[in-house]
Amino acid sequence: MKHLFSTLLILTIGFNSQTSMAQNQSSAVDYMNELTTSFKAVKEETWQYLKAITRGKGARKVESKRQALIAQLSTAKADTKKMKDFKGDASLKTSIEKYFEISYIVLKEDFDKILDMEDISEQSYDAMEAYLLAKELANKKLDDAFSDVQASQKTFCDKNDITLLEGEQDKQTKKMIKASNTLNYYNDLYLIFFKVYKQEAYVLDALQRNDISSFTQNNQTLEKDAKAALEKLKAQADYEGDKSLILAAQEVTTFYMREAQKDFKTISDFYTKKDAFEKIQKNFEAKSKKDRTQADVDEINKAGQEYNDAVAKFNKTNEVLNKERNAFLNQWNSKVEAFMDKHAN
Amino acid sequence: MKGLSFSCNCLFKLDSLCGVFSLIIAFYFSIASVSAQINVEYNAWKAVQNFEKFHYKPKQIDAQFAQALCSRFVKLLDERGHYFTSEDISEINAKASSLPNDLVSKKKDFFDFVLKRYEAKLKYVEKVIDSYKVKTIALKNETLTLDRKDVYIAAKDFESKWDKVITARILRSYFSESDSVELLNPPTKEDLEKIKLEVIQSEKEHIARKLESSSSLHDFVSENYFKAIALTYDPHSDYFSLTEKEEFNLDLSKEVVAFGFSLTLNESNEFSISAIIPGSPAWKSNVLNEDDVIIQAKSDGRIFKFENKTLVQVRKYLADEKQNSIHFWIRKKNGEEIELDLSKEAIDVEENLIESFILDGNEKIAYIYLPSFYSKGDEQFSLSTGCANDVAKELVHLQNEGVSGLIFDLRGNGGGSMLEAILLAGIFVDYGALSIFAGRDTDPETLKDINKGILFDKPMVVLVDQFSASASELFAAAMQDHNRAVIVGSATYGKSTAQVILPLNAFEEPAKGNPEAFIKVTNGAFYRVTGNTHQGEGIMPDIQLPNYYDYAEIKERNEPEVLKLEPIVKKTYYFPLPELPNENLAKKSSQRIELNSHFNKIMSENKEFGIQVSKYNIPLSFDLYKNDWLKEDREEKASPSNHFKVRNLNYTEQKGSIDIHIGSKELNEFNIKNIQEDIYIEESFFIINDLIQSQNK
Repeated sequence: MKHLFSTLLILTIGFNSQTSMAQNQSSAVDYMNELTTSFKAVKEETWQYLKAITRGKGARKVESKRQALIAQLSTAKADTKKMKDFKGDASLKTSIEKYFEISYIVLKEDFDKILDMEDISEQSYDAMEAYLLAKELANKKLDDAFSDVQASQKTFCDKNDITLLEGEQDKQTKKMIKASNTLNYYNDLYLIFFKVYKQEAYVLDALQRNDISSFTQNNQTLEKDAKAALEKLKAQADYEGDKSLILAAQEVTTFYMREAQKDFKTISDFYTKKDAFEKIQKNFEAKSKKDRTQADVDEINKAGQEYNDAVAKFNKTNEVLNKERNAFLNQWNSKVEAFMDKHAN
Repeated sequence: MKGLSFSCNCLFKLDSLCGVFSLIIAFYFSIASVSAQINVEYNAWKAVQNFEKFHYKPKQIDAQFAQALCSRFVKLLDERGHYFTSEDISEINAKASSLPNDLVSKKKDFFDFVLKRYEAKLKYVEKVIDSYKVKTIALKNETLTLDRKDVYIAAKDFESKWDKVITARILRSYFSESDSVELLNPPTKEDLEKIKLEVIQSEKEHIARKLESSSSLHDFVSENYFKAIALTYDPHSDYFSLTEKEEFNLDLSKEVVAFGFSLTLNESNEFSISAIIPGSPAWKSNVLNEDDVIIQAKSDGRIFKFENKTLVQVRKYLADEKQNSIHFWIRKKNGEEIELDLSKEAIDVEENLIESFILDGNEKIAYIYLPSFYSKGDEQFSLSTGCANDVAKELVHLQNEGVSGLIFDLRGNGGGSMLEAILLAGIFVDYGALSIFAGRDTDPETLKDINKGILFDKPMVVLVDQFSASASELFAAAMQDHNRAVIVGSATYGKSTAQVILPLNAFEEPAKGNPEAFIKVTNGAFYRVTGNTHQGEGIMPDIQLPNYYDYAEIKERNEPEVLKLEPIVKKTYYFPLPELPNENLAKKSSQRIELNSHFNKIMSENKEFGIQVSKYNIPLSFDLYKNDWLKEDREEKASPSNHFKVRNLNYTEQKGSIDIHIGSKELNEFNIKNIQEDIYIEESFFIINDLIQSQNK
């Protein structure tokens, strides 16, 4: 499974890369240029990381690129901190420093440094939900920090009579924007799909534990989640005319929906049959041998046969579902790869 | 399909439930079987150490503590003032000033003083009773006053009190043997003489057992001393000797063929049920609860009276292989007397232990009675072996039958596993916080619904009474806070505390002293998701139904040394459903109750009896005694409801010859009859019908 990535990537590219400055106060421009040099190095590492993700590199490669970016952010943070104020004005410097700091934290996933993780845990149903919520809230903090940088930059320019000019994007920037837009589109779809995928895992786990209570409750949630996901997918726009990811997500979610509504109900019926059979069996065994009539024996045999049939049906259903599930997930993975190849690279 | 693994959601949730798990673990400490003389000063000191270390609200060992301990101790030794006089009590109270030093410095001056006095008084009373062998007893126009607040009388009135006690015991015996008290004539002189000899024999045996040997008296008094220490912390802390625990374990052993209950001699010297094994015949009867008293039994046409018997005699009687089926007479906690037949069985803990019923009327309503929040077998950590999973199975069957609502009956349910209560509440709630657990040295923890989703989302009534406690209250509170069910009945008991059982020498290396004793320590409390506490007061029902115990003050807050808890502040996330039309439902219910002769009878008799908390008089003349007896013999049972028909679920109604109910065919019919005649279930049926109607609008 592909993972979910931070919005950090697109923000960094956006900053200062398309702009040049009309200057009449060279010292302020020099200061600003120096202050934003760190972005260039961060941008380079970001691109390496982005490439590793979108070109389907292995997890180890992606991880090493992530670590390199973390290290670069740390350096950028330290370099910015060393810079002086500009005529007593530290606002731009502080906002950039804070932005690097939050980027660093978000990428390292040290969420408790910027979020109330206890509260997030209280709000969430499970660890995965807490993680996703933390990620969402952390990204929001990152967005806010970036907006602060932009606002400080504007204030600084206004104050020092600097005019920012749109420039021609270089080739790398164009590639980065393309890749990160693709990744963001993927992220949106992935989140819709992932929630249902995870919920199905809970149902299967309960099944394995013979926990009818958990199984039935989680299956009800699976049906609800699959339905909601299908609606969201329906409303999702294509990506530059490409509907392949939506269709793949729809197919696998429809499979989950069918499972919840139909196949898992068969399994639940099996458990009620099992329960009934065990009661008959127990009361049969409680009768002493001499008290057992032919009718009793016939009845227990009949119930036993029905139970065996139900077991066979249960196993068959399970087997079919396992095959189908694998096929749909494989299909989703290959569609993701093809999608990235087509749009991100 | 087999195999046990925890999914991610469970792993995470288990974390937040560790409070509950620690409550359970400790029950499974293994017991080293070494016999040793009880070391009173060491055990008392050790017990205090443990309570100081683990109790949710530890206490200062000061003069106030000493007085409270002293008062619990004498009450345990002599609850009714049959041995100690008010003069004895004054002396004992004065001596209690040495208690704080005894407890801290491993001494036993106070204990020795009480032991000596108790022994002397037992011997004295033995003589007093003996003198009745040659005295004649006559019924008289006097009363025996029982005053719970002022139990001990002056020495000068002591012998005349015993005269009254014996007379009252004779009358009780005479009346309880009668099949029809209405037609009963006064006893003849011969009757009186015969019963008198039985009574004094029983009283003498009661004392003789204690005086049997110096070690038996020492053990009896010391165990009560330790119990008194525990009870001074709060009403649910306790102390068990190894013998007590072993007998308990034997009664509840799953290997033996048995009725499935454990007995204990209660404070009134009666045999009460101390535990019921889930799935046993006693359990399946659906009418027995802990603390019910067994009055007598009959098998092969012979009556066996429990009164005046020893625990050993009773155990022998019940264990007799020839006695496979016994007819029992039981007095319920609410005073009602019931009869039932039980047959011994090998106990199968794996099967589903819940049987639900359908009330077929305007709407098809499911009815489930849960006598306790059990968890089966030794798989305490499994999420799928207790009552929650059994109820879930029943609900799947019930949904298949198309029921439109559920009456979930928790009357008389004194609690059990808190984890099961959380799992059970989760069945009816989508997700979110259900309760909060607070221990002494840890931050309060939110107990969340473990499984996302609702298994049963139809309208629901939870029926409770004064005897619904602990896990029942946690469940009812969660349903009320989530607007998930209408709570109907009486305010519940009010026990929100949680206990853990520890060996007395827990966490001590190397083990010292007596390793065979155990203490039960209150180590935390449960709070509502709002942070409010129901400790002491219980859960207030949304709709109150009149009950014979409305005036009886059956409440945790009336217990001595009750823990008083304040609400806690803790941010929780829970998602209540839209408010239920409780006001409207209550209005309709009270209109029906006004017209219901059975509820009216209860209300008018309650008014007449008033509050009988601490003091009541037993008449010692035949006519007045009879009058009182008939008045107390109040029946709640009504004629069968004609608004619905109680039936089993379709899948159990096999056409073949093997019955598939839980318990025998007779028990099943007995259950159906009881449900059909229960006025509280009938009123709950009306309420849920009103609720369904209001939601259909």
